[in-house]
Amino acid sequence: MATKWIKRLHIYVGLLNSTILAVFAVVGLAASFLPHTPPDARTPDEVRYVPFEAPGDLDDLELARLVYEAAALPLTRPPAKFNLRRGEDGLLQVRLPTPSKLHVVTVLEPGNRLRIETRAFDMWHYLARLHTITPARPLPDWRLRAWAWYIEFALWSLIFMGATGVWLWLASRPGLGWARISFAAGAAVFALMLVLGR
Amino acid sequence: MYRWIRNIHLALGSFFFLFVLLYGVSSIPFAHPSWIPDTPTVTKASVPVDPAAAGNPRAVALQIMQRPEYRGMLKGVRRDAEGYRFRIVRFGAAHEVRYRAGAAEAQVTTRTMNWMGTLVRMHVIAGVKQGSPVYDVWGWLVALTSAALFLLGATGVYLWYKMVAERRAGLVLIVLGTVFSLTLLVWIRAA
Repeated sequence: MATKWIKRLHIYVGLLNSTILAVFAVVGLAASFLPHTPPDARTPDEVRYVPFEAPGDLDDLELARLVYEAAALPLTRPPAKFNLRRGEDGLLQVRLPTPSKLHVVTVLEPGNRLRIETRAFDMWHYLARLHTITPARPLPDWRLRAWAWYIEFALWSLIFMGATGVWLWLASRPGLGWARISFAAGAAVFALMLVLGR
Repeated sequence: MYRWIRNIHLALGSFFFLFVLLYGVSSIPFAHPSWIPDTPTVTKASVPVDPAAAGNPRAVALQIMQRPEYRGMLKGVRRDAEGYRFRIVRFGAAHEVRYRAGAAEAQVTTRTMNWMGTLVRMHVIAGVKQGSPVYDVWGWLVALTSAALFLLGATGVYLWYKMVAERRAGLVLIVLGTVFSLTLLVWIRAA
């Protein structure tokens, strides 16, 4: 009776997670074979200017927070210190990444405006960035929060499907020789990599 | 056909069980950093280097990596006005190396991971061309695990479809999961 329900739950959880499992697989394959190109190395997909008057009594981080509010870029989070840079021209740059894009906002203080350069990540890097979103950090947008909870569900599902998969094997066909060999071979390879790589 | 697919599902699941479990378990610190801290132990050491054979960062790294405790992959090589900086990483430890040009020793800060930290390192290390045989093999295993996830999903969907009694409930769940995730994928991409 328990095995029947475990089988049912194994199937249901698998079906609910079919898309995210495919995303994890794509991310793993992309990380294995594709080179990582820093997004800054590419020409921006879009450049636009927004009027902005920088108050004279703020430090860089305070100014960056004001820039963040003025730029109002969707899915971005308030900048931290590590999001700030000074370009070769000495101007303050605020990097505001989202899962799909990198916005670099340069404060053109003499011209009283912001230059917003936007570069879209390619599909592989988009998925790779998306799969790292968890509820651990505050997220400004409900779509990202929904995705983060989906990832949370997926990570527990992955553990659940692995554990119930072994249960179903042992409950239904425990004496299957090649399955035992397959399990032992996988465990041996994993242990060997752990020892050699640690 | 059904029997073949069922056996493929079992063969993949049994071989890659620990690999898939690794990704599930090592994701927990990303989602809940306070539950199982993966705080490393930090130590510092000076490692002798022959300045005559330290013409570039790789040459320095190779001298250091000859010692068993500093084995691993060379990452993040940087030159600056004073010399070189680089990292030597493996699953269980990361060594930050600072070498000042002409010096007879390099300063090494080592972060040794606990068991969860080691799993997290295994999670994030990927790539089939990393310049180290052990980690290249690991990179191929990561690629194979990813391909296995695809196949486990595809064979699982087939096996479910063949269970007539579960078709209706399963159809609701697969449509629900797919519509929810694809909607968010497209929406976040477009924002």
